[in-house]
Amino acid sequence: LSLDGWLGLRGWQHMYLFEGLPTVLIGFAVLFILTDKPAQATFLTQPEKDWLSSTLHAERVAKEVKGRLSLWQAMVNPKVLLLAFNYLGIITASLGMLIFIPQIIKSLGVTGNMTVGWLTMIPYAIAAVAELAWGQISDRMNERRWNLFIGCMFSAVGLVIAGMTMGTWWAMVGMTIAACGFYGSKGPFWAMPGMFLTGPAAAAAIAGSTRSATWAVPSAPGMSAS
Amino acid sequence: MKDATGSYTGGLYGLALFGFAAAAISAFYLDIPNPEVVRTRAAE
Repeated sequence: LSLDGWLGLRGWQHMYLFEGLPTVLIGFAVLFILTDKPAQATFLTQPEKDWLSSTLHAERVAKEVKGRLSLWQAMVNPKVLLLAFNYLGIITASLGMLIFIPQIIKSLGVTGNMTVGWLTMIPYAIAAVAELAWGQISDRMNERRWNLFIGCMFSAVGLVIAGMTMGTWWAMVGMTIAACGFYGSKGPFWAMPGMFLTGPAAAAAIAGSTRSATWAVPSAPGMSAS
Repeated sequence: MKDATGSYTGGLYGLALFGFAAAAISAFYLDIPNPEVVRTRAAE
């Protein structure tokens, strides 16, 4: 973007600022717009509040019939740990590929950094559409496990295709398939903790699974490629 | 891993193993009953 030196900052420092800005803005939006309970939401009509509150209550009761886990019980629950390991696998593969992509595109003969950036966007732009579509499909099927499985398989098979076709543009096709798997699996995955956990236990499980992603950052194989 | 295998191909295959491992966990160990489906079936 030729911003190197503007306001006394390097180009990469501007990139970090621009990339962080939407997250900060969304953080403030969440603080002021989202509420703890549907009954407090000003953007819902009364019938919508009533329906949502009763549906959430019925779901919570259905889950707590089988027992309610405390925060610490949730942290060592085998299913929660398996969800964390599943997420660790997906995120490790995802981050590794993310770090590989620009170098792989450059290895195809593309030289300009800006062009490499635009080409890197392609798999992720397609994956964004796949993420929405996959979530819709999972919701309509009311099924999570096999949708998650297929997402993981898309990721793995896409990476194998990319490896087999390395040095050709078909590798981009493989990485696009993999990206669709990475992001398509997110909807079914994040629906799963809420299927058997409630309240603080659900929050702890989600935090624990997300924590596994931070373990993946230093362990991602791509880190050694940079 | 790329350094260990000496190629991007090896690195991508290594990453694919993580994807296959995640798929195996979801297939064999994440059989979690959906309370909404259970409730709907009970109502029927």
